[in-house]
Amino acid sequence: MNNFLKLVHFELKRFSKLYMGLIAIIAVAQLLIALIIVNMYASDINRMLAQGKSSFEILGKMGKMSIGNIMNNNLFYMTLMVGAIPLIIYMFFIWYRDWFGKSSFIYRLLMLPTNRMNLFYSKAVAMFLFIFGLVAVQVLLLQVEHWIIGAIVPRDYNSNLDFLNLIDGSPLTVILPPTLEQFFLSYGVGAMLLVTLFTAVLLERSFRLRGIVIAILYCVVAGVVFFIPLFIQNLTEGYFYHKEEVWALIVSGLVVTICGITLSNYLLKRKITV
Amino acid sequence: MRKYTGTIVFTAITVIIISMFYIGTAKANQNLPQFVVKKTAGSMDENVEAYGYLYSSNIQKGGLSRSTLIDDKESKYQKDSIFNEGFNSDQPEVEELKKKYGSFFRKKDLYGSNAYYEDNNQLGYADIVIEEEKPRIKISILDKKNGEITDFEPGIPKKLVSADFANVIDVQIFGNEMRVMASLQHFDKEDIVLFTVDMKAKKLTDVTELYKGDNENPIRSTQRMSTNSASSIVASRNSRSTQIMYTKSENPIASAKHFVFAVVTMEEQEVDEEDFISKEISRKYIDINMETGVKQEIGSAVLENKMIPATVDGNKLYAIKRVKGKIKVQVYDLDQKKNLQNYEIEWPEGLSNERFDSLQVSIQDGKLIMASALSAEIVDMNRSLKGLPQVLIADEKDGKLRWHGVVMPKDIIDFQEYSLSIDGFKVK
Repeated sequence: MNNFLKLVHFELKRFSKLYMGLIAIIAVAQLLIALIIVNMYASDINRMLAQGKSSFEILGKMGKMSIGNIMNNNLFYMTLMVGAIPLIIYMFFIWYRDWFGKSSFIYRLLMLPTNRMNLFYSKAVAMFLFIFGLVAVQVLLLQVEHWIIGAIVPRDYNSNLDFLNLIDGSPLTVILPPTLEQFFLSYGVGAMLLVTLFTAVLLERSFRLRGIVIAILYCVVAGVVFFIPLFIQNLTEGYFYHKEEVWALIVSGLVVTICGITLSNYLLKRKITV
Repeated sequence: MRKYTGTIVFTAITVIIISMFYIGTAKANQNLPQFVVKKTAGSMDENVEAYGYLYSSNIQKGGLSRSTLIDDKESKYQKDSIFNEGFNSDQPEVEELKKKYGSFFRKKDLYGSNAYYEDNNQLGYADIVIEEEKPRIKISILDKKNGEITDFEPGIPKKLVSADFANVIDVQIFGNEMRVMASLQHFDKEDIVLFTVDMKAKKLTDVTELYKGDNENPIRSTQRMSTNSASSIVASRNSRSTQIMYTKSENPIASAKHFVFAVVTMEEQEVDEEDFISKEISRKYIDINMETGVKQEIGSAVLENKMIPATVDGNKLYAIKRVKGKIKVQVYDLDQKKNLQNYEIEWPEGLSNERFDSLQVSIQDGKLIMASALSAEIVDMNRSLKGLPQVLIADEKDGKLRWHGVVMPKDIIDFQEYSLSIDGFKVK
């Protein structure tokens, strides 16, 4: 356990500087976007008030300001991409940097007197902590943006809707599912994808050029296994009730994840040698 | 240990923030506005429940739509769960049957209660499949006594394939015959057709065209609209449009001999570049005897003084008309073709029935149930009693008021972004 925690700490530390930079870029960009949108709204209201228009007319045309106005802006989603894309790349890089970095660090890691699967788990946990860290930052940013609206927009024009109510139904639900149940299901699928990608990387590392083909085939098979319930549902013209379909997907997802971990365990212990 | 402080703090803060977020969303979900059904007049103690949806009127809130059941104490909201089968509050009959006969409902449309039929012995289902190669009716019958399910798919004439899609609007079984009434929807018109299927021979024996939409005028657009208990397609023309409106009994699954629908012709007048005003030009009501397939027009000779057919129960047609503070009711026997009785129901004073247009009428266990103002913005509900969804229960025999109530916010609420839409009332 101690070795595992040390490895997690090590993985977090290795990416920390880049990660902090990423958070800083997202925070600055998102707050700037929020300030611009809110100020534009406030100045439009002031202009219309100066033109002698009534509050009723202004609200009829502009609607009330809420954090939804910021969340529906394309630039807002670009800031999310700024966080997501580097993390997706790092899912591969977290392994390959050990092989291709200075003095083939992987050999030292593999020589550690600990279960080699601790390497696999520590990298997976580190990846999830990076993802959840960005999600947590996003939650904080939404709260700050909510305060910004409250500070700049006059009360009559501020819908004052809590962002908790606004996330449901918005594209932000991809990273912040509206309920805890959906959170576990969404990130459960995320865990399955991560395990599958890690296994694919280990396949490539084990069999090199041949491994690329095997890894691609493995990903395709994993995808097919995961979607088997949907194929069956389609073939049987909707035989299963929705609830049964969801449970079947959970089971198929667990099968793919467990198979991925078992295969990775085999590869790390038997195929990847120092 | 000090070495790991950064990792521990980072992990702890992340977990705390995400946990706080989900505690907040759980609280926000529990904070949905509470409504109650409150009795305002009447001598009887009825147990009335309203069912419908709470939805967001704020477009930025996305697709919030939560099914709710409201009684005299609270509103219960459907849990927002991925395991839910969907929002079926408008199909309570299908939900009830699905609990009893789960295997029968597999591979079937759970949202179209009109496609089902139930009596003491059997449960029936029909769906029209419009495919160029093999247009057909998918039929499924469950024998309640032995649990046996019979499926068969008789073909339908290929000339009907020109329809874009078909919508089953009623299914009835008489002896060995199943009658399937369907709306065949084309790009520019809507036809109503009655199919007769011999369930023993598993063959289609008759196709009767009950109403043929005309398409003489060029089409400008089509749009879907919702009516009392079913939906229809509206074909808008340069100046005229036709709507088919169904007048159905409270429980669309139960056995019903008569089916009444209205054909309404509207004329559109352009006000400016974007706005049109619709004006009704003509309206005719057609009764279909589902057992014999005979149709009769219900015109002014049948309906007294511009009464409007509101619901059908067995062989009785209930037609209504609004007069000041009252609802006039005419009960007409569709089999005997004679007037049975007329009476007036007084709307409780102070609760004007000004939103009469949305009046929904049904018969449940000898009670005439009238509901109005079913779609209510909460801002209106806070403003006055007239904006509240109302339900009035009268004795079906003499129209005597038994109970009147409103659906109202439990406390003064500030949820102006929400709207409440009531699908119906259940009297227990």
